[in-house]
Amino acid sequence: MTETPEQRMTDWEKALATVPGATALERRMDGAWMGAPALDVRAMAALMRRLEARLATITGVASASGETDVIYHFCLGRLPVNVKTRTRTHALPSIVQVFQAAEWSEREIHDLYGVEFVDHPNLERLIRPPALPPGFFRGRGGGESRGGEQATVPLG
Amino acid sequence: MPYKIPVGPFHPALEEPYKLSVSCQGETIQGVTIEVGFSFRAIELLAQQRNYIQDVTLVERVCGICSGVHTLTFCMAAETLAGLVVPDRARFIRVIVAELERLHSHLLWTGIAAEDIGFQTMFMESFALREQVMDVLEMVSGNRVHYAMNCIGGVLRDIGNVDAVLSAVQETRRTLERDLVPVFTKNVTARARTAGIGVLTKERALARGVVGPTARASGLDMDVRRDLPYAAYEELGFQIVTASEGDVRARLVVRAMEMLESVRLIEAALRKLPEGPTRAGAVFPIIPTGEATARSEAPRGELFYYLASDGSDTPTRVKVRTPSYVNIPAIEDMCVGYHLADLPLIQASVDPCCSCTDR
Repeated sequence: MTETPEQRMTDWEKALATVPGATALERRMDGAWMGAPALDVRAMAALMRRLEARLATITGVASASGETDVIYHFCLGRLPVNVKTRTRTHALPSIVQVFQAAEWSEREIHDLYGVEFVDHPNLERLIRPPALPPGFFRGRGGGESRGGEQATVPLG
Repeated sequence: MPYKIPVGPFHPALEEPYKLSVSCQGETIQGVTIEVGFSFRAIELLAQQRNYIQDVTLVERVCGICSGVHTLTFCMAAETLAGLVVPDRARFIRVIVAELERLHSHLLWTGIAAEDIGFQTMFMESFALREQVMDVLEMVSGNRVHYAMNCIGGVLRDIGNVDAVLSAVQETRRTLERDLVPVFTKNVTARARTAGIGVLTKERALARGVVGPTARASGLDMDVRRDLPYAAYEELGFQIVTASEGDVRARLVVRAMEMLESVRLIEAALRKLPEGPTRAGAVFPIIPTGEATARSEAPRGELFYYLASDGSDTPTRVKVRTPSYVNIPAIEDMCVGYHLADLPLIQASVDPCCSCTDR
C-alpha cells in the first residue's frame, strides 16, 4: 500500500505543520524550506527549541511589498531547515528569550532593514554606523529597487 | 567597589578592533559587554550592487585570514542555484586551498596565543612555520592571501607541479609534528597559563550557538566538513577533533590537532588529485531566479552564505554569517569570574575576527 504524503512526514515535520501559520515544507538541494508569511514566529521558535535545533542566523531581505522577508536558518541535527516569514507593519516578535543566539541577528536586521523585534532586550545599534538611520540597506541594491518586481522567491 | 575598564577598540591585546567593557570587582571580572561594528564596510550591500564575477573578488576581501573560504562558500551557493556540478579535480583543489588556509590561520592564532602568554619563542616558531605555509599558498595561487582561486563552476588555476607542493607540505608536517604540536599540547608553561581558565560549558555553548574549534573544545560534536560534506571531504574522509573541558587549553589543543588533520587532508588530496577539467559552465554563468544557502567550515567555524537571484547578473541579496559572529558574544560568558590579566588570552582563544563579524 502506498504511503500518503502525511504518512511519509517525520515527527518533527508533523509538529512544525501544527504551528499557526505554517505551510508545507519543501525539500531542496540545500535543505528544507518553508515559506509562511503569517507564521507565529514565537510558537515556531519554541518548537525548534524543544527539537534542540541550532539557530545559525536570521536573514532580512527587502520585499517589494515594502515589508521585510525574514528567514530563520536552523540546523536540525545535520539538516538545514530554513523558515521564511514576513514582517507585519515592519515588526515581528523577538525570539531572543528562546534562542539567545538570535540577539545579534535581530539587532542587525533592525540596523539594516528597520525591522522592530518586539520585546527584544536590547535593540541598540550593532554594526550600523551612527550617522546612518535604521533601514539604510533599503532602496540601495536588492530586488525592491530594480523595477519594483518581486525579485526573491515569492513567499507562501 | 566595582569599576569598568574599556578594552579597545584599539588595544595591543586585540587582533582587530572591537570593544570589551569589563566590569571588575578588585581584579575579578564580573561581566563583559561587547561592542562591534568598527570594521563595518557594508560588503553585503556592495555585493548587491555588483555582478557575480565582481562579487567573488569582493567577498574574498571580507577577511584577510579566511579569504578563500568566503569565495568558496559564495561560489557554492551560486552553483547550487545554477545547478552547476563542479569537476572532480576542482573539488580536490578547493580542499587543498581551504586546508592550507586553515593551517596558516591556526598558526597565526597559535603565534598570537603564545605572545599573549609571554611565550616569545613559540610566537617566533609559529610565525616561522606559517611562512612555510604562505610559501606553499604562493606556489599554488600566486598570492600569500586573497588567493583568487575559486570561481563559479570550479577553480581558476590548476596545480602545475604537484610534487613540489607535496614535498613542501610534507616539510611543514614534519616541523608541526616535531616542534609545535608537542609544545602546545604538553608544555608546562602553556598548560599553566591556559588550563582551567575561560571555561565555556557545553550548555552555554549550545545556548550561544557557537561553532568551530570553540564549539568542539566545549564538547560539541559538529563540523561542516563531516555534517554537510562539500568539495572533496567525503572522498578524503575526515576525522573530527573534540575536547570536553571548554577552557582555553582545550581550544588550543583542538586547533593544534586540527592542524595535523589539515596536513593529512592536503597530502591525501594531492596524492589522489583526479585528472580532468578545473571548471564547469560558462565564464559568465547565468544564475537563475531563486535562493540558496551554502555552508563551509572556515578556520573559525561554520561560514554561512545566503544568495538570492532575480536571473540578472547581479544578486538581489547576499547575506554572510561568519563564525566569529556567533563566537564573539560567547566571550561574555567565558570571562566571568576570572582574573583581569587573563582577559587578553580568553578573548583571543575564540580567535575573534572582527572583519568577518562586521563585514
